[in-house]
Amino acid sequence: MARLNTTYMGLELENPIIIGANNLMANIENIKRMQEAGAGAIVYRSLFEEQIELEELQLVDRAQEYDDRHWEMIDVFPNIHHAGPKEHLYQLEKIREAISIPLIGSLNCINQDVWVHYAKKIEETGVDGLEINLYSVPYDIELEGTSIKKTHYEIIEEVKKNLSIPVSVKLSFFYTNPLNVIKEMDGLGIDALVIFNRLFQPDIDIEKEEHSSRFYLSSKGDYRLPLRYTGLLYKNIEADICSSTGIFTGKDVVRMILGGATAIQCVTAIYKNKITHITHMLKELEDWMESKGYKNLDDFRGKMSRKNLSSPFAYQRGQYVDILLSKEPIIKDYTI
Amino acid sequence: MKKMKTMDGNTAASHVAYAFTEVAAIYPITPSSPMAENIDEWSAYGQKNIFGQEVNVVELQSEGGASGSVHGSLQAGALTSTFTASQGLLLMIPNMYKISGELLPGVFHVSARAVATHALSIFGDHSDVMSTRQTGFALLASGGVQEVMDLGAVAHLSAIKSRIPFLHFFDGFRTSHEVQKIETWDYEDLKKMVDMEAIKDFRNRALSPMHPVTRGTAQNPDIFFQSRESSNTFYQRVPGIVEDYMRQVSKVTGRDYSLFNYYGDPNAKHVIVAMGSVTDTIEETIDYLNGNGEAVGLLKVHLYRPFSAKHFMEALPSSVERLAVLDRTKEPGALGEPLYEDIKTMYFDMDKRPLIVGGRYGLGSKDTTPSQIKAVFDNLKKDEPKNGFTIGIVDDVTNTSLEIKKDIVTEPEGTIMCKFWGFGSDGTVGANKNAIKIIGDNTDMYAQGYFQYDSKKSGGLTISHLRFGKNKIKSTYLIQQADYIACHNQAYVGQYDLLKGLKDGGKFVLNCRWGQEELEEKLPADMKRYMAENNIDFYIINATDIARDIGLGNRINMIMQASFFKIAKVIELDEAVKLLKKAIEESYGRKGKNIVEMNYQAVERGIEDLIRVDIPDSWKDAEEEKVQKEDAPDFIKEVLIPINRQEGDEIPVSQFVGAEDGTFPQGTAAYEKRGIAVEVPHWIKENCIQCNQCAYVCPHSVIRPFLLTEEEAKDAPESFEMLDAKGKSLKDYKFKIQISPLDCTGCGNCAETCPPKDKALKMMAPNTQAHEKQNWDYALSLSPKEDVMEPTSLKGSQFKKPLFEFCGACGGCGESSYARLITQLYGDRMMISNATGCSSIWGGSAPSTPYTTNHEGRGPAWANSLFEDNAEYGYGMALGNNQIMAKVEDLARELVELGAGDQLEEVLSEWIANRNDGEKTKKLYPRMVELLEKEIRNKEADRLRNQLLDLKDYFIRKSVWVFGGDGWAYDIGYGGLDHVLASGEDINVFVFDTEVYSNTGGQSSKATQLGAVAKFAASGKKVKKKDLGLMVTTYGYVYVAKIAMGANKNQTLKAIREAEAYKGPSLIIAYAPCVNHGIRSGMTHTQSRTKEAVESGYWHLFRYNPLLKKEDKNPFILDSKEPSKSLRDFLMGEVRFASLTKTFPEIADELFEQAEQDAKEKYETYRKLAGSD
Repeated sequence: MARLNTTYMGLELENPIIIGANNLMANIENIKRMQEAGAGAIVYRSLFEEQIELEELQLVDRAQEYDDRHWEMIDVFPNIHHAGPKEHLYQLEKIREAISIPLIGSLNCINQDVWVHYAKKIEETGVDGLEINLYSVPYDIELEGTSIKKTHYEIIEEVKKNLSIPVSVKLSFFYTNPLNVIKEMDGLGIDALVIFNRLFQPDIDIEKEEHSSRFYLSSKGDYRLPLRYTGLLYKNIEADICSSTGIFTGKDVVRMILGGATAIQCVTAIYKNKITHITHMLKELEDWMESKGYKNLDDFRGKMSRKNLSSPFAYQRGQYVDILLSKEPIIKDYTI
Repeated sequence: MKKMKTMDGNTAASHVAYAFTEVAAIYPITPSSPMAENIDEWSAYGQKNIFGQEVNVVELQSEGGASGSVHGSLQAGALTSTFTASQGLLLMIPNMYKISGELLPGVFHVSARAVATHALSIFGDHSDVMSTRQTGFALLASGGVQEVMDLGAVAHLSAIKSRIPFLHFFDGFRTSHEVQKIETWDYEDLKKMVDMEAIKDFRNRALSPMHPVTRGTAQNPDIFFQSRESSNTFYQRVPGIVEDYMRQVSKVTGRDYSLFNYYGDPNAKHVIVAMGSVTDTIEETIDYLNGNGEAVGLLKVHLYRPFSAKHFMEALPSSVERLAVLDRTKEPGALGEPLYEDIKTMYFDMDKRPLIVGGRYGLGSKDTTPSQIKAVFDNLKKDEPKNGFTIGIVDDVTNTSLEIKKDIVTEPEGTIMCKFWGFGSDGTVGANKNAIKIIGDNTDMYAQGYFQYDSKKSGGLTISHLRFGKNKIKSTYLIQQADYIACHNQAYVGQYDLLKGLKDGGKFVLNCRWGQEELEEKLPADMKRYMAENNIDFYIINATDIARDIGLGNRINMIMQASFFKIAKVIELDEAVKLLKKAIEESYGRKGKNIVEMNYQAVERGIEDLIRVDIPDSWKDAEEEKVQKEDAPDFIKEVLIPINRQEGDEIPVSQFVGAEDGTFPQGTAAYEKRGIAVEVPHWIKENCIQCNQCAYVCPHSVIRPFLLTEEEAKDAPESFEMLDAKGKSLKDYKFKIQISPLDCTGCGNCAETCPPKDKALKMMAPNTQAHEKQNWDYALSLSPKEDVMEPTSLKGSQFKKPLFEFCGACGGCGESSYARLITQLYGDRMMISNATGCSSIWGGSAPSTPYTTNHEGRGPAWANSLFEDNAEYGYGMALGNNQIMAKVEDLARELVELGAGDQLEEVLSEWIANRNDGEKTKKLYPRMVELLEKEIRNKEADRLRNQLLDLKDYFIRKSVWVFGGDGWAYDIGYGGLDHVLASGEDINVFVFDTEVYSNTGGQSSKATQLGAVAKFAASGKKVKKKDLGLMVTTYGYVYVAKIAMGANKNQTLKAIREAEAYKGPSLIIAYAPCVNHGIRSGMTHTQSRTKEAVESGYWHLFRYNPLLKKEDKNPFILDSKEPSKSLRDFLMGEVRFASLTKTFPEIADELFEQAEQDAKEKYETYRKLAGSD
């Protein structure tokens, strides 16, 4: 029987399927179900600094909505203060008590001092690791890319310096050369790299002629981007690689591990197919391994990575290959 | 010391009280509540008193209870304080005697307020404090916010040292709510002054089993008197102790405090004696008068009890020949008011006595101005000065008032005076408080703010009065002459005299969506003339659109604040912008760059987008358009309209002749036509299913179904759309849903409740519905169709005229629609006893009376006594009625026996047989009166007949209702409620259960649900809501129902009908969503919230009908189905619960889990009682 266990950022996982941060986790019962369905680890919902700030503003706004109306109703609520990340931390503590599989916190901040402050608070809840989400949504035309990178490196350095639990970085794809950025981050001692963060883009409602924000899930085939970078990074960095986005089936998991992933994260798969789908994915992975005669994941991990391929084209000219693969036999000939 | 801060008087009192207090036992009452709320909040967030402890704050069920706990806590050796006012203080009087009698050093901080007499007044005067001058408490008066801070400390320090309890008081609202820049005490400085030995002795005297004693014995005539006199020496020591502490305080602060402080000319012949906030105004007036060659003075009283004649004489210049003593209270029938009498008594034995006159001022926060003070000095100059005079009113009946010959302006030169007209919740008040803080905290200028609010809870007006100056501001009166006036709401143009008091060359900023070119048309002639004749610097700004443009929604406050700084020029504009931006950074810096940016933009646009309006010369000659004045009763023209125009101060005493007992006519609210709705419902008749649910839920009775005969339909205005009425009994009629757009608050509950998928009501801008005004008038002129359909159904109930309309409740109020429904059913024979609270404010805030009459002139008779006695008051009404009705029965029997003719005998006999049946007696009434008016021609029979006719108001059995909120029913009035229900009397009690003290601003009550955030439950209420309904069912003979209108409209109707029909006590507890719940979907959804409350098991519906027992049935009927929705989801729909997850998440989790468990248990209990297994 195939063994699915793996070591990810120093944590012993029963299998490589990590459930990424998602809203189903708002209910602790769902997290327990994820564990029951066989999840290797859980990354709990992100603690967003901006969300805390907006909640704080909203709390004041809502509490004061009916103030100054009447001599006796100058205010209607006591002067209450938002407790900052306390609600989130409290949930984490509860989840820590409720499940036995590795639990990873997730953090998303703006200000550098807050990164460290919140990271330490999350660590204090007893989580096994922390995933920090680094991305920049450019809106300032004057801001140079180097300063963004610099800020990100400083955050990693500070967080690593102040935490004793392993730290992974989930980053966006939008760097001029993500590989170089990852290499720099790797050099700062990150324990794992999660590729990639999906950023929500604004939309426009043409009827109402106003901006709209829609929540959209990843689609089948989205795995190709992380797959390529997994393949490119395997054995080129010290940190473990966790591939994310578009992983729906056990076969997708196989693909990622063949590319060199230590573990994978999935979210959309369980949104679309319910939590029990994790069990099916694991079964598919196990069946495939057995059909191939693999005993454990290391038997085939990175087999299809850049390091283990002789042809340079699969990864170096990947975009063209993806598009032209079936139409240009001449290239196909070269790539095989 | 030397830490300057801007704060109001209540906060200043809280600051010093917190330092010296170990336990605070309180009960909320306006305007003192914020003191205890501050203490509670500071304690919840870990602030320490001078003993290194957080204060233990407890909320009791009444002030009586609070004072009992203060007494007990003092006996246990803890320094204990309380905070109260008005009736609250009166309820503490019994314990005040006890506390002083036992020499316990408690301190009461009192924001002095009028005591209810002919009317309730929440405003400031000394009638409460003066009612306690005999209790043995020391009474210490503060005149302003700084004095509250300083003398508040003296009260605690002196109480500890002297063992005499202190009542420290200051004027309600004028001082309690006035914002001033003051110096605050450092707790270390306070600690240094405390007599720690005295505290040690106090603790050693505490009741303790370690050294047990007995206190509170019953004493006989032999020793009581002597024992009582034995405490005299303690009182003799008090003046010296207070004087000593005042010296210490003066030394630290540099401010001179004495038991009596003299101010003015050292050789003055004419002096006023006064205490409280008026003393600042008097000082300012004295500066003005003495600066103009007069030589007058003021003797300011601080320590009123014990009264030290020695200190009085030491303080008063020997030159004084005439004294005017001002009292802020009224003691009808007395020789004079208390301070006056004290002074007169003091002088009685003296050889040299000045001429002493007394007068009353400022009752119920009547503004006392320098011009009035000048009138007091002018009175002293007369050969025979008037005694027992009044100022601030025109008493043209007993001619007590002093005449003001000329208005004077006494604010020191350089004081900038600004006035702002705002709309409740629009941010104006908050922005002004912010402006005061900015200037007060960042410059060497002094700042003062006083804020006036509305007496209605919907569409409320606010007027902010701000003064800025280089010297301490002593103007404790409303701004009379302004340098700057801003109006933040264009709807006020023409409605109020906005420019009244704006100085020549003054500045006026109007926020409006009108362009310059539209002003000609939009501004009324009097405004135009005023601006042209007084060289007004006039600006307009469209802050409403700017705010929307930059993403601030309706928040115009920052824009208007920036405009103010630009135009008022209190400080340099650059400096102002810098400080505003700093304040924005401090407020929003951590809340995201976008919010900071938006506010920065608001500041910039508030400066740049101001448009200076060139006032054309032609405005000098602007003439009013001739408008035909609507016909209205004299009362409306002479009382209601002036009051609503903010001109009530001008109404003379004679206007109240004939209504001296506080009587107001019914139905005056109908004349207000406030037009405050942003949207009003538009009826789409094609979609209407004629269910009448829209009218059923309307909190303001502004949407109603009407039935029209064919003839009436023919005469209807063209825009009067109609349908053929549905229903067997209605087949001959047309049907119309009619709205009154000018009375609507725009809450939208009607449209939200409208059942069809394609709604028959759509909320639209009021200007699209202007034609409905004439339609409404026509609808009201239709003949009544009250008997066409029985009110046994929801639909039928709405064809009956609401005898309650256009109340001042909040838009979407969950309470008032219940009141309206009850008046539709029983209004024409109904008496209401109403507890003080929201329902008494929307039910009877002068001059607006929403209870009205039907076509026969009958309607609910409504009265409010107090907060705590409501059930007893209503019970008394029932008893009185019963007694007179019994007399009617005696007379009727006598007449029948004597012989009164067949017809009259028959009708009287029928009446005797049915005299406890309201509807039957109502039907018999006309015939009875008609027959009784006919002469019998038998002397004895005619005597009885006339006697009966004299009592004809008692022929119809009255439906006696007791209305009140949960604060009354669950807490302060519970003992009385319980007693009245237990009495077995036929009385109907209706509880509007908002689960919080709504009227006083959201304090927790025993009706507050577990986990709800409220004042005194900032971290969520820790114990569950009292199940009042279930408790009362245990009597077995009381009808009890729990209802929720939006959840089950038929159950609501059924419960009300059953309760009224039950010939015994009835209690209905109605779930009433409220602004205090912070409904996240808005007050449009109050009806649907009640539905969700029931579906989630948050609220349960039941009826307990004792009559069913006689039919061998289970009297308990559970009308709620098993909860089908998540309780947690329901809780998260309201700020009162959802906020707890953000403020105290771990407590929230625990409490909400418990709430879920409790809800299940409760449902299970009800289910078992209903016998359904």
